[in-house]
Order: sequence, then structure tokens, then C-alpha cells
Amino acid sequence: MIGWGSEATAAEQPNPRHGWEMLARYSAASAALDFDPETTVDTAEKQLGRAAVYLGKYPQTPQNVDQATELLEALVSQPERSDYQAAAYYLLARIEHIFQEDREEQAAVYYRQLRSAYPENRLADNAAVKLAMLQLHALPSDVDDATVKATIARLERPFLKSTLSDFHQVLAAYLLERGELATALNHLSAAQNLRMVAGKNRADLLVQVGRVATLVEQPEKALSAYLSFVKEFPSDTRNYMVIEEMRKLEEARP
Amino acid sequence: MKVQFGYGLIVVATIGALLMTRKNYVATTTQPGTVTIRVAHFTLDPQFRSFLTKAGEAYEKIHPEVRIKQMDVPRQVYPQWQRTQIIGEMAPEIMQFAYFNSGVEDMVMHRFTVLDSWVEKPNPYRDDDQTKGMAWRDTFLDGLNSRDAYNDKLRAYFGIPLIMGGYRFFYNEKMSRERLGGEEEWNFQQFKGLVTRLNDPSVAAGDLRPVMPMSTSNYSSYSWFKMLFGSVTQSLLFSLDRNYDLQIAGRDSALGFLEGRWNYHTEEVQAGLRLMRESSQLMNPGFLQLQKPDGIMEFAQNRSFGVGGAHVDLTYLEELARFEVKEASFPVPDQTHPDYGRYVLGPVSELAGSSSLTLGVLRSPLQEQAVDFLQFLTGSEMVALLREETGWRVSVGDLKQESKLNLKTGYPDVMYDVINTRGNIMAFRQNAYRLHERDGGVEIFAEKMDQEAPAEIRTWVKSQTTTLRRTLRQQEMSIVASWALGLSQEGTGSKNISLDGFLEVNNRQEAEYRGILRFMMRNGHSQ
Repeated sequence: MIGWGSEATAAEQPNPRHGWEMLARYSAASAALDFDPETTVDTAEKQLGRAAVYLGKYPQTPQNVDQATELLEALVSQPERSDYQAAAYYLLARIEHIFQEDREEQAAVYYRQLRSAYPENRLADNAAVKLAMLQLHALPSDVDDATVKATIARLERPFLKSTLSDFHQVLAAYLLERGELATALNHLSAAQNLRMVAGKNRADLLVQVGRVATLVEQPEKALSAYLSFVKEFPSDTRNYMVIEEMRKLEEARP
Repeated sequence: MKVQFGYGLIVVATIGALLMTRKNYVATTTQPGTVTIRVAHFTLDPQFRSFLTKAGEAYEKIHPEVRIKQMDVPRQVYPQWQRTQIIGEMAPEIMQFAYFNSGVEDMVMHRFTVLDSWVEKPNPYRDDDQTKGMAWRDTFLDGLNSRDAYNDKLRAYFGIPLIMGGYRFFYNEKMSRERLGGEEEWNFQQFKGLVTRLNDPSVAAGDLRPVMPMSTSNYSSYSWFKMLFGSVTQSLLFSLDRNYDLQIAGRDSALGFLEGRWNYHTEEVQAGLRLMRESSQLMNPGFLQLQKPDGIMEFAQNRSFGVGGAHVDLTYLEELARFEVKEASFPVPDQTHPDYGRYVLGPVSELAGSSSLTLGVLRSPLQEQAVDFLQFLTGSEMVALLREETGWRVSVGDLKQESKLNLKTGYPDVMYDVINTRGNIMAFRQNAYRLHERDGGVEIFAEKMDQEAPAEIRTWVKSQTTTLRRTLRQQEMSIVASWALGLSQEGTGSKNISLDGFLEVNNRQEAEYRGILRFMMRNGHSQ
């Protein structure tokens, strides 16, 4: 334990909701007291909160990651099922995937355990996106198109529209990197049709659809995406370029 | 007698220092029953300091329990000063973000207040019909989309900008009238001819001092080079665009360089370099060594016709110059230019999309009051005062201001920066003189850059993967927190929009991170 009470300043009484709010605003130190196990009875929520505080501590140290791992492992080993246990699986997977080096296999194990034990959970759904990244990343750099296609066909699909949208965008990024523009366009269009992307990310997606569709000679699709972009994002700095692209596409029409 | 005078001087100096110390102490000490909001910044222009003083006094009138204390720190020492203040827990309540302060992202996340809950609500100090009732965020010209205001890696608002960025060409109106027949706009080929026209004895009215078309300083030349280089490298906006989203960042150019998409012998880059060398003949020698004030003085003393600078420089120029200062588009080649015209796809954009002079609030018991002061600064009355005091293009929406400026839309002006000042800035700085010196030239410079840039770019890309990985790690606690906060909504049918948005950014950034790792492996630059 590293001074839970002494670091807390914002909350008078432990209040996990306040703690989560502080963590959501990147203020791990202000959240510490809210998950203090000694002030009131300890709970799965508090355990998860303490693990999140350790991961958010500044500066980040391996010891803090170890402390978080210890708390999360204790949480997943408890017989009682809870939403917090699902989140603990997710964080353990993320620790292996992004905090540690070369532990992708262990990360995949946690992602799969989460998806199997809590298939309806929002974080479990997102684990499908992370698993897709792991599997594509494991392919050799000279992998042929057929193997990539087969790997993508075998990937577990998320069920929520928002996660499915992310899933398609991740696949599109991988395919664009390989220069498989036509297949990438299918995934970009799928993400666009789900209409889950908002704000600047939507602006980027619309331009991507327009640009890739132009390159694979699907001018109508390109024009439609560019038109949406111009209408929805009139002050975006790319507007001039997009309008020029539209003009060229219009001129090339038979 | 001399000794007595010396002692007297010491006594007077000691008393003076004590009085100054006392004055400073009083100024920085909160009176009982009041709180002090300290505003630290490095914008030392007298007009801005005067604005902030007047704004502070106006705020104190309506909030008698609050004192506003301005702390202006020279730009050169600001990064170190800012870091020391923050780490030593002595930081003022409000601080200007210093984009040039390396490692600032870490400081922002851990020490500055997330402003999301305020920016979504109306600014109580807006009372004009145009923006009344609008979310504070939407009252800004760029919707708070600048790098300092909104951190898209962390999906949070951290700063409030006061002015818009962007560069302009300023010129001497009297000289234009007397020697150029009152011309107001020039393309590059016309501008080149100004050396002769400005110095023609028949129009110089007996003034035989030589006049250069552009003033001599590293700052003025940078703003012009940025536009010149940007005018002939527009096709690279497409060929280096790895994500197919028509946005080029340093990572695109760095990876593009390592895989051979471009180098300093690429046709468009060579055209940009030739233009830079050619344009340097329109300034006095030594411009790379001379600082911004040197160039401004040269302009103010009628020794150069024009000067490049930021929008905000206009006020300063007007104060120094004894002639009317007018602004225009930078003289760059257009499609009619016999050599460079074939590289020009269209105009270069003058609508620098993002704002600057951004202030953030440090986490402290006074943060609510500090945010309130920022709302006051960007309220109707203070925005008008800021414009009046400084003449700057303010960050808060004003259609009248925008239409008066008449800025050109066009292709983004980013290529000079992403090609020369991101992953290979050391090589560029060390070799820039080779491009301009008498015995140098485009080929000598390009040869040297192609030799020295790869190693620096490789190191830079590796540091980018480290940064991306750190950002992904930082996001995890906030993602789980957003998920936990959404638990109470589950079963009610409402969506956790905050979590969805956060996961989307996290997944996109992780895809980019993995993509760069694969690139480095594939191209033999593995970690």
C-alpha cells in the first residue's frame, strides 16, 4: 500500500463514484482515498479502483504495475462473478498487451477468458478488436493476401455497433498498410454505414472513404462521402482539397 | 569624498532593493478574505500585458474577493520556469501552454484541470445574440480543436485559447504608393522584380539607401519559406498520406522518407529548395543568424519593403513604424510561373485553422475561480477589449472580424514543417546555411541531408512509438473509469457515449502504433 489517505485531497469521505470521476479526468492521486480499503468494507469495485489508481500513478513504475496486477489477479480469482471481475480481466489483458513487453500470448489468454466468461460485457466486446490486432500483428511481414483474407474471416466479431465500427476501422488500417485498397474500402464503408463514428473521427473516415474510393475508381462512392464531409464539416481545413477532388471527379464523369 | 559617495550609493541601492522586495511581496500575497489567481504567460507584448491588467481590474470589480496577478516570464526561460514551478508545487493557478516545452503532455495530464464539464456549458460572460446560450466550446472559431486546447490522445479539453494563429506578409504602404504605384498583391515572379523597382533612383525621391523586398531575420524568412515551400510541394500531400485522410503529420513524412517515398532529391522538394535559395537573394545576407527584432527594426527603418510574421505582429509593427503597415498574401509562385508553375496545384491556405495563446488551469482548490476568470477573458466584453488593445485576430467567433481579414483558402501550408522540422530537425538546422551560402546550393544541401537525415529520422520514429505506447497506457485508467461510471446507466437503455468515443480513439491509436512497429520490422529498423 502506498499512502492512500495521504495523497487524497478532493474527497472528504470515500466515495467510489467520485474516485471514478477523478480517474476519468486523469487524476489518480485525487481518487486514491475513494478506494481506501481501510475506511469502509472492501469491495470488488474498490479493488478495481485501486488497481486503476496504481496504473494511473505518475510517474509510472514497474512496481505500480505489479501492485495493480496483484490486485487484479486477486479479483479474477474470486468465486463471485461481478462486472468488476470482467473489468479486471480486461485490465490484466491490457497490462500484458501494452504495459509489458512481448507478452502478447498471455494478453490473448485474458482477452479470451473475458469474452468467454462475460460475453455481454462492453469491455469483452472491445476485446474482440484487441484480439484482431494481436492476430494480424502476429502474421509475417511477407504474408500473402489469401492468408490475410483467411485470418480476417476467422476473427471473432464484436456484437455492439460501436465496437463493430472500431473493428472495421482496425481491419481497414491494416489492409491500407498492405496496399489492399479495394478490401480496405469495404471495411471503411462498413464503418461509415454503421454511423457510430462522430466528430473529427467521422470527418477523417469520410475523407478516407472518398480518397480510397477515388483510387479504386468508384467515383460515385467517393463523391457521396466527400459531399457528406463538405456539408458536415464546413470549417475543416481539408475542405478546399476535398472540393478540388470533387471537381476533378465531376469533370471525369462521362 | 569618492568613498563617501560609494557608501551612499550602497545604502540607496539596499533601500531600493528592500522596497522592491516589499512591493513584490505585497503584490503576491493574498489579503485576508481574498484569493489570488496568478496568470503566468510568456506573451510579453506590451499590448497584451496591458489587456491582461485591465481585464484583471475589471474582474476584481465584479469579484471583490479575488485578486488577479499577472506573471510574465520571458519565452527563453519559460519552459524551465514552468517545469520548476509545477514540480515544486508552486505553480500559479493559470499558465500559458508552451508548445515548445518538451514533455509538456505528461505535465498537462497530471497537473492541469480537465475542462470538459465547463466547455460543454454556455459561458456566463457571453451576452451577444450570436453566441448567447451556445456551449463555451462552440464560441471558438476552431471549436477548441487546437493541439493545446484539446488533447485528442487523451480525449479531453485542457486549454482555452485567446487568439488565432497564422502568418501574414506585412508591407510599407507609403513605399508601395511612392515606388510601386500603390500595388497591394504580388506573386513570386512579380516580387522578384521589386529589387530593381524599389531601388530605381527615379522613384526613390532622392533616398539612395538600398531597400530589400523582404526583411532579414530567421523568423521573417521562416514564415515566407513555409509558404514558398508549401506552394510547390502540394502533390506530396497526396503521395505521403499514409492514412488516406488528406492529413500529413511528421510521422507520415518520416516513414515516407525511410521507405523511399521522398528524399531531398525528389523533384517537388528540389523545387521548394530552389525557391528558398532564390528568395534568399531578396533579403540581406545573414538572415539565418538574425533574430525577429532585427528584421522588424530593418522594416521599421525603411531598409526593407516587407516583413513576414504572425497575425499578432501587426500591432507591434504599427507601433514601431512611422508609416502605414498593410498586410497581404505572401508572394509565392502561382500556376503562371514558367518554372515553378507546374508544381502548383492551387493557392496555399492562409486560414491557419487553429488557435494559440492558450491558457490552462492548474489543479488546485482555486480551480473553479480560475476557470471563471478564463470564461470572463473569453466573454463578450473582454474579447472586444482584447481586439481593441492588441488588434489581434481573436479566437472567439466574430463574423465581422473574419470577413474583414479576407484570408485565402487553399492547400495546407504544412509541408515545410513536416519535411524539415520534425524527425530531422537537427540535420536541417545544422545544414540550412549550405542551401543559402555563396558556395552552397540546393545540390550540396540535399546531398548532406540525404546522408544525415536517415539516422535522425529512425531515432525519432522510435521515440514516436514510445510516446504512443505511453499514451495508450495512460488511457487505460480513464477507459475503465468511464466504463465504471457507465455501469449505473446499463439496463436503462442509454449508451455510454463517453466510453464508446474513448475506445474508438484507443483502438485507432493502437492500430497506428502496431502499424509503425510492423513498418520498422519490415524495413529493418526494428526496436
